[in-house]
Amino acid sequence: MIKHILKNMLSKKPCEKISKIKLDEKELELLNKLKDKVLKVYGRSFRIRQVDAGSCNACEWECTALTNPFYDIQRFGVDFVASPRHADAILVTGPISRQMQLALIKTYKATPSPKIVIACGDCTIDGGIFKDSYPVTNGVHNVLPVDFYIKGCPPSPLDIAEGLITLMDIIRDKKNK
Amino acid sequence: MSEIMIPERAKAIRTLLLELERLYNHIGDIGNMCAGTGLQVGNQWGAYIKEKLMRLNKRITGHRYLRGINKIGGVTKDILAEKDVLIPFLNEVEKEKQAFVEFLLNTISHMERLENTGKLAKDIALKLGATGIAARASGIDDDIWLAHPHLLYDTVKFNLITEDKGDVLARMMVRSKEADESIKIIRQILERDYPKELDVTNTTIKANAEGLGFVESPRGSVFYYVKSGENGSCERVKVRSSSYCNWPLMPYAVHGNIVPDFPLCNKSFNLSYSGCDM
Repeated sequence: MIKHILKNMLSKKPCEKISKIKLDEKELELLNKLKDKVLKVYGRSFRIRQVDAGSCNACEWECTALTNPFYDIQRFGVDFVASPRHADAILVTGPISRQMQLALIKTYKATPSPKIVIACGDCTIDGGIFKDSYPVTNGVHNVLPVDFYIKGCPPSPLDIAEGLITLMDIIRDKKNK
Repeated sequence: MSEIMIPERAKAIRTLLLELERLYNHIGDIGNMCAGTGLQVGNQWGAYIKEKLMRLNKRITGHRYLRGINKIGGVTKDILAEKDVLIPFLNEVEKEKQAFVEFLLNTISHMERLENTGKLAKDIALKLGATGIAARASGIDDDIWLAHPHLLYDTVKFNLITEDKGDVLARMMVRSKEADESIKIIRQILERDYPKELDVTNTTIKANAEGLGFVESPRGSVFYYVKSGENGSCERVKVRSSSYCNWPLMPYAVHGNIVPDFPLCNKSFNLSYSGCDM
């Protein structure tokens, strides 16, 4: 065991490799912009609760991808939390299947005000490829009041970040009114 | 359903896509298993290699999840033309993946949690109809590509990976070895030459026809049954996901383990919550 520990200590640290990642200038600029906006509107702490309402999992993976070493969204003041009680916004994915409708409404009620509903992905806008099928409700707007839509099937991590930037602008304008 | 055969080049591209899908999923899953033991470095390392592969997907197919490239009668884009990008990239990924797995195998805290955890006996796996990684890690030679080879799987050389122990480590090793197999298959496909045809133009779907599609997905076998309506539209679809077969295995695998190992066992199967009733 000691041999293994020594070997691990002497070998190159894996973190060095990951720290070499470089995003494109454009991408980094976008994420820095997000940081500024989140700082102004939410004081560097915007917490999102993600709700899967019958999604194919691609949107979820893209949200997870936001926390990987490439984007590392936490350093820009945005994070995903495990309970709606901790959240500023809920991010809904999927065409809202009837099985998940009640769970979604309950999550909405459990989120403290002022709450924001973000619809993420084409399915949430109008049901996407599942539109008019019997087990879906054709979009979040039929269940909850929606503040913001992010389109894409699935939206890439940068699309989501870009969407959040616009969302911050909208919230700021509302505040100023 | 429309009684057509897809051209050889489309077959090669579809095989390539399946292997790319398996590659990024397996490496991502090995990383996700580290989240079960609280090994953040491993988790992020896996996410890093996965993101790299996703960016490759975006570059060669235009979609991070390889969507929109298949169509009835063939494929929409000739990704074999991106050979010059793919080959050096795969060499790089292979090296990184090896370093990653070696790091995990040398991390004692991680290995101690994985070994002898979540054991699934072969007879239980057989009785409950396990599929994919869960079956192969328990010593069952379950693979659609060997049982019903289509696309190019009857012409490429690959090994069936099985492990006998049936614990979490066995499932991780099956994933790791299968990722190597995927790279091997992709290399074989890229070496060959194919006629230029990408798709078949005549693709009218007959009324009231039926079709069954099946592939070996990263999680296990997946079946799609499709029935067409009066004017060739889609009337009925039935999906049999691999999670449907593998969820009943979970109670047997976690039995007798400590509570903190539950998420680890869960992640080692990598089952879809939405897929449990399909």
